[in-house]
Amino acid sequence: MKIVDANTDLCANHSEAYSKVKGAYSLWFAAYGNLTHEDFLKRLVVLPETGDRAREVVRFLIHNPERWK
Amino acid sequence: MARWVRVIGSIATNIGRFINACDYDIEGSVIGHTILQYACDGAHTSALRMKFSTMTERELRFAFQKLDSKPELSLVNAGKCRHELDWLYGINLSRLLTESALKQGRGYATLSTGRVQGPTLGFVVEREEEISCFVPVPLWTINSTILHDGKIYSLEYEKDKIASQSEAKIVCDECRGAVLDVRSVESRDTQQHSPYPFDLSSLQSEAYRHFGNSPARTLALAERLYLDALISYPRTSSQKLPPDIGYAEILKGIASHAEYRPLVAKLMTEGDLRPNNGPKEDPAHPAIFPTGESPKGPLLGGEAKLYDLISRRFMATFSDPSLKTSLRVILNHNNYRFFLSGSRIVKLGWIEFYRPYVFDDSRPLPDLKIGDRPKIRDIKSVEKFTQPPHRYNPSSLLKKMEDMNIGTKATRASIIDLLYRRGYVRDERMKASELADKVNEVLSVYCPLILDPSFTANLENLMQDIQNGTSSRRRVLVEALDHLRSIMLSLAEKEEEVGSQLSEVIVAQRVAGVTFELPCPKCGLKLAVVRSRGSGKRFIGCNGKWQTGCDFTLPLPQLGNLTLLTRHCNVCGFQMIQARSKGRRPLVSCPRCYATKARDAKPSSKRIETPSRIARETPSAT
Repeated sequence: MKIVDANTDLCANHSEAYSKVKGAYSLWFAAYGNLTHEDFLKRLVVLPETGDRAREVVRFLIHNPERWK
Repeated sequence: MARWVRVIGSIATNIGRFINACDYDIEGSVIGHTILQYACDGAHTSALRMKFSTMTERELRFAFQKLDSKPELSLVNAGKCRHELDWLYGINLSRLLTESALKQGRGYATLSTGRVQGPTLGFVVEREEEISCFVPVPLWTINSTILHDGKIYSLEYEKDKIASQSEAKIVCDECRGAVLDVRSVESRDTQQHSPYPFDLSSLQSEAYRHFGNSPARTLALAERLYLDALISYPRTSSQKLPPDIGYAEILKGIASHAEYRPLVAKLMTEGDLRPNNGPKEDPAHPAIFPTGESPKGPLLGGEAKLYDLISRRFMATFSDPSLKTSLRVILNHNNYRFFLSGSRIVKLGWIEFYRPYVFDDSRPLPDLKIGDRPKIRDIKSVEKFTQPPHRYNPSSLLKKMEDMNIGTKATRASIIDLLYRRGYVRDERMKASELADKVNEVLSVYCPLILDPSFTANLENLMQDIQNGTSSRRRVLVEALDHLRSIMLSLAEKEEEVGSQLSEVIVAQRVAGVTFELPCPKCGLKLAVVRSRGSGKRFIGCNGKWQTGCDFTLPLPQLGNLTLLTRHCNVCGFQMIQARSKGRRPLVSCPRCYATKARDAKPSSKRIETPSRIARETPSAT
């Protein structure tokens, strides 16, 4: 059984997707040399490879930038 | 069932001796034993056992002469215990899931789980989770070519992926138009051994790869060929062909087909017939092989294709290895290294016998030697992204079940079909539904054991212990009952909560399952699968029929379970559908293109009659 991260209001599944999105940013940053997290999210949301749940989290972060801790 | 027992019982009076001639495996032994026990007045204690793997006259006569009088009670007890555990877990948990949802009063849906079904669904759901949470990461590849002797050849850069854009740019900038030095030319001969004889799983996998047959369809076709005495018993996990099946006799039989005659003749001249047996064994049956008997009538469609595959594989397994020469040219510019690879088949060996079921990946190479200096013609970096893992297809899921030792060779294919029938998965690339997700979630909370692949593996050990006499059927069942009781009690306490969650998903899935993503091209409202009240036929209708009077309709196949796919038609962009009938290859089609083709194909005289016919058949949407 998955445990919901107490620091977020996301369910267990979205919490997992959230941590993957956050984790991927450092790889994207290293790949492009210079990339803001806003640009990262904008690019990620349109990529066909992005998973459905990850895309929902990305949309959520685009609309709630304060949740990008 | 009682009727069958009575009928067999009425035939089985005044019988001198009983022979159990059911399939020679655990299942066959249990079936034969049970019939003898209950329908033949306890004849199981004295019955003889007939053991055979092919339905040929020769083997049947031989088996009849060598009847076995040894009792197989431990084998039967192990088989019965397996069934009883499956009932205990499967029936109780499935019934509880189904009834808890039904009690919510929102319609009936059969929900099921079991010792094999649970973990199998777990694999699909787990994969769906990975895909759903997948976050791609950028990478770059270097695409470059050289021109040599008027031909263009693609180069491979030493790193197949580059993690940063700047590094990829530097490689391109430094190497653009550069003259490369041929540093070395490496040549390697690779021997590829002939394929192993078919066990059921490898046959199902190969038939899926070449014909697109689902594992269940392959098994059904193979069973038909077996009953016609054309192949050996297909439910086998052996990859070994013992000499006593008579290799030469079988090959002579195969040679009665004109297309195999030259191949058999060649094989016979190659010397000793020795198959390339694989590592997998089955104590009851050898690997699948053609019997060499001629079909009574012409084989058609799927049966003909499968027979050809089995026959060619049988010949190929006796043949010599193939020999391939691989060449790799290494080219340098400063510190940048490029490769040029190619290969060619030097000796066909078994490939000649297994054509067309082997892919030729030969690639020609330019005639380059050390010291040559070809110039890079074109170089660019290509931005790509890491890809999510692939969804399972019926063949790869079957392989996964086999690797994890889940289910038996006889049941795996039907379990996969069951996942489709229950609405747990859809599409050829198996996509887990929300219902699957919910069932999996409920079970992972209340009965994680049923999802655990090691549960089945432990059970197999217990079955082996019963067969060996170190454990008893009763002991295993008592332990299982104790475990199941606690699960059922905790689930029963939460029945309403579980039922509410499940029924919510069932209703949502039922609506989503019949509603198309694309809006009606006439009025823009939703399109759905509806059924005619008059004829009972299904078709695509517009939800706007009662609001806007929209009369848009499209025909649908009438047979099989219908699934709306997420794929869209390459020609018209309409959402594709899949009609899946038991034991048949799924029919995937575009309803709009089908309707257009059907309309165009109708002769003009009939076209005049069409409006009145449609008017009569166009039903009110339900």
